[in-house]
Amino acid sequence: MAKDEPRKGGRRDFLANLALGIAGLLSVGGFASRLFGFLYPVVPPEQLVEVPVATRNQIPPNGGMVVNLPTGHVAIVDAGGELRAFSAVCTHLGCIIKWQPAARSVWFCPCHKGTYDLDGHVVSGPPPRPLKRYEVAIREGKVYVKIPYRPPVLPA
Amino acid sequence: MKAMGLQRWLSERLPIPPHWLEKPLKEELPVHLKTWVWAFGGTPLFFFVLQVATGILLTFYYVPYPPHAYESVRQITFGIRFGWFIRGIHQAASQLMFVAVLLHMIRVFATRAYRGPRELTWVFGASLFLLTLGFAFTGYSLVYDQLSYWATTVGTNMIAELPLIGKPMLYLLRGGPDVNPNTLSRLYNFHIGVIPTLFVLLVGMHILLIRLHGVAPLEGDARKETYRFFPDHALREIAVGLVALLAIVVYVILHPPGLGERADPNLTPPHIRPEWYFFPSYRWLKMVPLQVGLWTSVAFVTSMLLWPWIDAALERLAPGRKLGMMIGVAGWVFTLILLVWEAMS
Amino acid sequence: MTVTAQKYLVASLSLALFAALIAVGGVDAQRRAQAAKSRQVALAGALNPQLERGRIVFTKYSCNACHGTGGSGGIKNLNAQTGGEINGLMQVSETYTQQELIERIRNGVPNVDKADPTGPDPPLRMPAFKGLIGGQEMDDLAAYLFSLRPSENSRPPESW
Repeated sequence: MAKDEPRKGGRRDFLANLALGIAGLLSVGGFASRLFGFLYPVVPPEQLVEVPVATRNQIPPNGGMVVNLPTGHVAIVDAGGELRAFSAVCTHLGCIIKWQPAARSVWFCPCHKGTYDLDGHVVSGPPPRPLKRYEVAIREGKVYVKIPYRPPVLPA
Repeated sequence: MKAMGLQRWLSERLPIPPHWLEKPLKEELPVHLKTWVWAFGGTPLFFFVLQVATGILLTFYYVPYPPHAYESVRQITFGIRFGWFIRGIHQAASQLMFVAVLLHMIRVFATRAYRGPRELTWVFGASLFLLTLGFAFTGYSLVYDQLSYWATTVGTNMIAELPLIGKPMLYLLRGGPDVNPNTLSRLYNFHIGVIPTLFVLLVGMHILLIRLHGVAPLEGDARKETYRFFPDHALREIAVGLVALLAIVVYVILHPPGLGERADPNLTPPHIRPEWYFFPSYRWLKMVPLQVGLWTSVAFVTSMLLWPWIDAALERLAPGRKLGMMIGVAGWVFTLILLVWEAMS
Repeated sequence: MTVTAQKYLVASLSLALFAALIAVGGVDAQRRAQAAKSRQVALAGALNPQLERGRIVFTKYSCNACHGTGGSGGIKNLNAQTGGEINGLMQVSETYTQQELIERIRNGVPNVDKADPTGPDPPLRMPAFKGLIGGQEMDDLAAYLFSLRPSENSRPPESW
């Protein structure tokens, strides 16, 4: 009967098992870290980028609108001649707000009926924070807004 | 004391009869298994598990919709952390799995381990070989670059030429008469759903039969010595698996995967060829008229599946003359010649 | 090989694997540094004002009504040879030169090829934009179309 190894040399055994255990743990750990890195998405940092969103005369005095771009959703309002731009994403749970002038508010969120005023402050409903404000510039009759933009992981 | 309590707690809730574990672990294997040639049975299984693991990871990013498919592969290859690594392993292991299956088949063939009562083990094994081909074909079609798209178009068109069943099979594979958005969905589903399920079932049957029958005795080997499955043989299998894994990892680090041009359904590139494992049938079909080629291919596959009985019949016909071995070897060599010939042209 | 020796063999192979996995980390960092760099370059190009003007022309003349938002395609055109749908515009840069594209837009597609010759005529055709789009607008439109690439942004989520 070719049996490997009589049972003496318990320390040799122990060392071999220890080596096996440590090496095993290290390589499993290595794989696990690579696996987690793979699954965790690559998120390029946000950058502020100026995009044209509309022409100046598209927004009548005291009017407003929501512009949906591939790069973001922008709510613009003419507040007595001054153009203001906000993020059109409701601060409650992320729905896109609508231009809906009412007694005390101008923006309305259809999901849970939150409302905001001309300054982007919450007038009623569940939204916890005011709308994020964006910088506006007007050049040659066109409205430019500086919005946060996350470039795609890989450019085309 | 706490350990004893834990052990008792476990054995009360998972009442596994001790001999279930003891029997396979304490099993004694005939000593002729101790050579590296006998490691090729576990290796395909190891590669399969590797493919399932890397495949599942890839499905987190791959998009099986023609306008996005290529781009998602591009993202994986160049954008995602370690994406090139996972994709590279998946590609390399698919080639090596094929080689491992072939080597295993050759070993089983050479030692005639398929003889009765083990014929069914061979049938399941040969079917697994065909499934591996299916994996390779469907997997390659998912990349959606020029080579992948056109190799799939040509390959599925060939199936249509089979008499009677050809056209229905083509429609089933493509989800319609032409390549359309459903085609990719179907091929994807075959690759990640249907074929893996069948594979697992067949591997289960294959291994079950081996456990039930015991390892096939080796003709002409009169040694009676045995050695333990655990830890001796188990460590050997693990070592072989690790060598294979290490080889793949180093290869992928040195040769990361790339990507061809995006598929253009309107432009057939000048040199399309199937992957190397299809070279023998590709060359054969170029040599003989299409119908002859198809019928002979069908005959070849059938005789491969039914080989144990064919071999037994040949043995009865000409006892001791080893007709089966000669014909079989001729078949293997012929296939190899076709492969090399196509590879070099 | 004794069992102890085998254990050491497996242990060394595992260590070698661990070392290789460290190397993987290094290679990966290198590769993605490349991608990060080209992200910056692309960002500069992506907000090219001409492309934005071109996009406005695209919607002004209702190109998106037939070719989909951002040229994503998908609008059905019964029996059209382009897969029963109006073609998307993601591969314009690979299919046409600037001149060919402009000619195409000016002449339109009066006869759409049939997928099944015995079947009905595809109902939708591309009108000729000669006389409607020209000059700066045509240049901007062509630049916009040339910039179209399939990406996550080009398919509206509902179509999943």
